[in-house]
Order: sequence, then C-alpha cells, then structure tokens
Amino acid sequence: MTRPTARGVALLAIAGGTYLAARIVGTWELYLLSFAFLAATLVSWLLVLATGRKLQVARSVKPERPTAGDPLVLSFRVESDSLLPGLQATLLHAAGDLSPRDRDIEVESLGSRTRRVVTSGPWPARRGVHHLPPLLAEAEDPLGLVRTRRRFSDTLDVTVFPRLVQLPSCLLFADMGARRGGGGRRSPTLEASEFRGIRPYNAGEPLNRVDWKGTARTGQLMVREMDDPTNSDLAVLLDGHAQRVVGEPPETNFELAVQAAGSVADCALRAGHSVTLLLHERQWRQTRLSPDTKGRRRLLESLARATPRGASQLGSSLRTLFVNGLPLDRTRTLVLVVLALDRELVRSLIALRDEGMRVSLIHVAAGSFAPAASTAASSAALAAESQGLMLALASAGVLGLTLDRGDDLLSALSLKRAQGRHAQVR
Amino acid sequence: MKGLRKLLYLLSFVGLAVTATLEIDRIGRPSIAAVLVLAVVVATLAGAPGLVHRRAWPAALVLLPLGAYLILRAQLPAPPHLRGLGQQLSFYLSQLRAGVNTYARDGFPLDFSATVDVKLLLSMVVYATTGLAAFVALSLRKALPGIVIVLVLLGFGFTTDEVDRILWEPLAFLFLAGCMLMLSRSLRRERWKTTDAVAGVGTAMIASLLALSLLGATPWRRASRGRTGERGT
Repeated sequence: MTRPTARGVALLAIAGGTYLAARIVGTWELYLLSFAFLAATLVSWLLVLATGRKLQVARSVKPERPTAGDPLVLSFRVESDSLLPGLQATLLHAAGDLSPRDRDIEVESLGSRTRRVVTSGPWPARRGVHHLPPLLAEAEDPLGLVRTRRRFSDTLDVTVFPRLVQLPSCLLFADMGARRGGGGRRSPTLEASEFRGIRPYNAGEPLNRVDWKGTARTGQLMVREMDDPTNSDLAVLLDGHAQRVVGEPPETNFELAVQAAGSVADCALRAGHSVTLLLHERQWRQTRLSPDTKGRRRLLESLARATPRGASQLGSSLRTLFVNGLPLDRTRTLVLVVLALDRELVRSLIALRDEGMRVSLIHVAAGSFAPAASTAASSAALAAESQGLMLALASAGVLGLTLDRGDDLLSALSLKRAQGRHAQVR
Repeated sequence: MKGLRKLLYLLSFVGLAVTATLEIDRIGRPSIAAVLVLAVVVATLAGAPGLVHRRAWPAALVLLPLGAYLILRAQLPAPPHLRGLGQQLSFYLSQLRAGVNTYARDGFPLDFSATVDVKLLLSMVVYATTGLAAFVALSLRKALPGIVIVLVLLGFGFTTDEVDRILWEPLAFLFLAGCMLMLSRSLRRERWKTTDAVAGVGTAMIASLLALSLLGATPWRRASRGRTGERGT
C-alpha cells in the first residue's frame, strides 16, 4: 500500500496552510509555494508507486550449512526493474533471530534498472533452527514523503548445527570397542524389520535374504541387510529440563550439554556403533542413528533442533522409558548428559545399573554458568551436593564426569587424554 | 561521509534562511543585508550544536541568548555609563521598544538610515526566527518544522514588500527546502549515494516546475494585489 508518511501528511497540511495564507494576502509567491508543496507530494507518490511495484528482493545465507560459532552473513539482492531512479529501500527485520539485535537493513538508493547486493553480519551463528519470516521491504522517495511496503513470500529456514568435537575415543564407552570396519554392519536379527541396505552375498548366509532385484542389477548375488530399530549399541540421553538451564544464550549449560552429547554420539557412530539419541523435551524425542554418513547428518539435525523444553524431572521419567518403554529394551549402554543431579535421578541410575545396564553420566555443572551476582555460598553448597551424588554413583559403578564452563571437551571426554591425565596425577 | 552530509544540510539551511532574510531586507532603504546575514549566520551557529553531536542540543539553549547579545552589541554598543548586565539589557529593551514604535509609525519603505532602533528590531526578529528554526532543524534534526519557521519569515517579506516580485526567491526557497528534506533523510540512513541527492533535488525541481506551470495557467498572479505603502497583515 502506497501512502504518505507523517512528513508527507505534514507537508500536505503546510500546503493547505500556505494556500489559505495566499488567499488572505493575495501574493502569488505563496500560491507558488503551496502548489509546489502539493506537487512534491504528488511527484513522490507517483515515483514510489511506479518503482515500488518493480522492486524484487531475494536473500541467502553464507555459509549454507553453518556450524555454531561460524561467522554468519546474510546477503540480500535488491533489484529495481523500473526506469525511474531514487527509490530508497529498507528491509524490515530482515535478519530475523539470526542477528543478535533486531535491525533494519538499509539499501542505497536504487538507480534505474539497478541491482544491489547488501550484506548483514557477520554474527556468530547460534545453534538451532532459525525461521526467517517473509521479507518485508519498505520503499520511500528521497524526500521521505511517501512510502510503500511490499511483502515477499519466501521464508528461509537456517539450520545451525552444533559444533562437535571429534573425539578419537571416548572414555564413557571404552569397553565397547570399535566395530569391524568402522561403519560396519551388525548381523540381522530374527526380529529385524528395518531395511538398511544391500551388500554382496557371503558364503553360508541363508538364501532367503537374497535381494533378487539387486542381484539382477549388479550381476552379483546380493543380500538385503535388515536391522531392528530398537536394537542400538548405545543410547545417548540429553537432559532438556527447562528450569535447569543456566547462563545467557549461547553461553548456557544446555549448549555445552548439546555439544558433549553430540561429540559422544558422533564418536560412537564413527566407531561403527548405532546410537539412539533421546532428547528430553516436552515429550521424549527419539532418533535412531545408523553408523554412516546419513546417521551423522541426522545427529547434527536432531541436535540443531534440540531445545530445553522438558517439564518433568529426568529421574522420574527415566525408569518408565527404559524399563516399561519398549523402544529401548535392547539397548544396554546408556550415556546421560544432565544439567543437574538430584537424589531421584541417582536412585534411577543405580537401579538401571543394578539391572545390568552400563550407565555413564556427564554432569554439566550449572554453577560455572551462573551469573556472577549469584552468591558464592549457594554455588559452593550446590557443588558439594553434586560431588556427593557423583561419589554415590561412582560407588554403584556408574562412570561419571563433570564438565564446567570453558572445559576442553577433547581432553575431558577422550580416552587417551584421560588416561594421560590419570598418569600425571599418579 | 556523514560529515559531508551534515555540512551540506547546514549550508542548505543557511541558504534557506538567507533567502528569507534578503526578502525581509527589501522592506527598507538603504539595504541592511550585511547585518541581517550576520544575524542569520550567528543564529545558525548558535542553534546548531545538536547537528555536531545529537546529545549536544541543550548547548543551543545557552548559545542562542549569547548570540542575541552579540548581535545587539555589534550594532549598538552600550553607553559606557551603564553598569552591569541588567542596565545593559534595559537599554537594549528600550531600543527595541523604540524600534517597534518606529515600525508602527512609519510607512514602507522604512528608512534604516534615520534611526538605528528599527534596524536593531529587524535584526533581532531575523535572529530570533532563524535561531528557533536552526534549533529545530539542526539541533533537533526536524527539517520540516524548521522550514515552516523560515517560511513564516519569508511569507512576512512577501506580504510587506512593495517592490516588484522576483521569481528566484521562492524558487530558491523550494530548491533549498527540497535539499534540506533530502539531506535530513540521509542523516538518518547509514547508506547514501550521490544518486539520492540527484533524485531528491530532481523531485523538488519537478514539483517547482509543476507549481510554476500551474500558476502560469491560472489568474492568481494577476489577482495579487499591489500594496504600495500598504501595511501587511
């Protein structure tokens, strides 16, 4: 809609006032001024009307698949197909929540049939899925008398993946070892129901698994590989209890937890283990990850979407999930990444351990993320309680470690470096 | 880059105020244009601190009265027997009052050579109007209200002048007003190019030409009254 700005309306009022003054005193100069003020608004209106319709805006983000912390730049291509020059365009809220501050982006005045590219940023990319709303462009004449707004229908979703650390080995599931061939496949089970792919037939394998279409296509005897979706080597559980998130985004304990959980799961996938990722949100979100490129991409996508929206306490829902819940009844190794420790959670973990499950725990200490204003006494009390609970877990055979803000995940989580540290301590 | 825009904006304002002042100057003989232009320059400088830095606008409230005192002293030094600022201000107020009486008594064109009081009055009117306009347009960066204040001064000149009208003054006013509107927009924007100036000035000129052609096609010019010796409203 093309309409006068506040300044345009004021100029029209001044034109009216000058015209009245001219009528009273009868001087032609005042008539001239009044007509000129009116004409200026009219000319501006025609300019904006004619050029605003031929305005096109497109946007893109670089890099296309950003990782948290990457410098993120938004590019806008603004194009005017009009022959008339002088349109001044402003892109409103164009960067959405990608930018730390909600800023409008100004475009230099557009000449006749001009294309301009403006950029916004760089800002450090923050993990998550960012939905950028349709672009809203505001175009004005150079005098600021008339304005038009145009909405462009394209939305843009930018997924910023978490920055994972490539662990050479992981302290938490060292006893699992690596599967043969890194991304190797497990043998199919009788309950197998999920198709995983086809591969060449090995002597001695049952013939009922032969994939005849694949055999015909390749000229070689091929078999179908099936797997059980409930049967993963490792389950990584990420605590997302909303009330336990501490710190200012992106420097929160949840972000460090995401990074730790992702790095552990990524290490397991690279070692050839299948992983089930469990995200504690409003409801449990479960993602089955196969030890291949696709699985690692799904891991990144799942973690990019992870938000701390869990309402229930972790401990109370754990047993339901693992004992009564069917999806994970075959998983025997569990790694939890938690934001806080409490007695109920510790009891649940010890119970799982007693049932024969291998349980490991990463505790992302909230104290190190708390604002400086919080009292040292409360932080110390919290740390002492957590330490006591960690000791209780350790005595029950649950392997645990605590991460603080600024900790190097590579040295904290990898097996060799941890052994090196222990050797130094000895 | 913004420094250049600020300078151009300041110059446009000075040009606009000088255009109005030259119209005022034509109400008397001999010309006191130099005094009036000095008043415009001092008023502009006193009213402009907010243009240098946005938060400096209160400085204009201090500088404007000082500038007025400077203009008064430059034209009519206070007699040496007066002691203290209070007595000097009383003296200047009495001079301005005398100027008002002279203005009310004498017909146009006013005789500026006969007495200094009416000259003092006119320079103070120009200073006060321009100072207010400078404060609004430059310090507060509100171009349109500033233009309107100068327009009042110009309109006063149009209604009291008895000599033949000249076209360049309203056209110059429109051109400079267009420049001010365009440059005030540019001060609010980060990005600015020369094409902005071309398009802005182009819009103002097209509007002026349209108005001029409309005026030429109508009987309004002929309807303008001659007011030889007539006091304007």
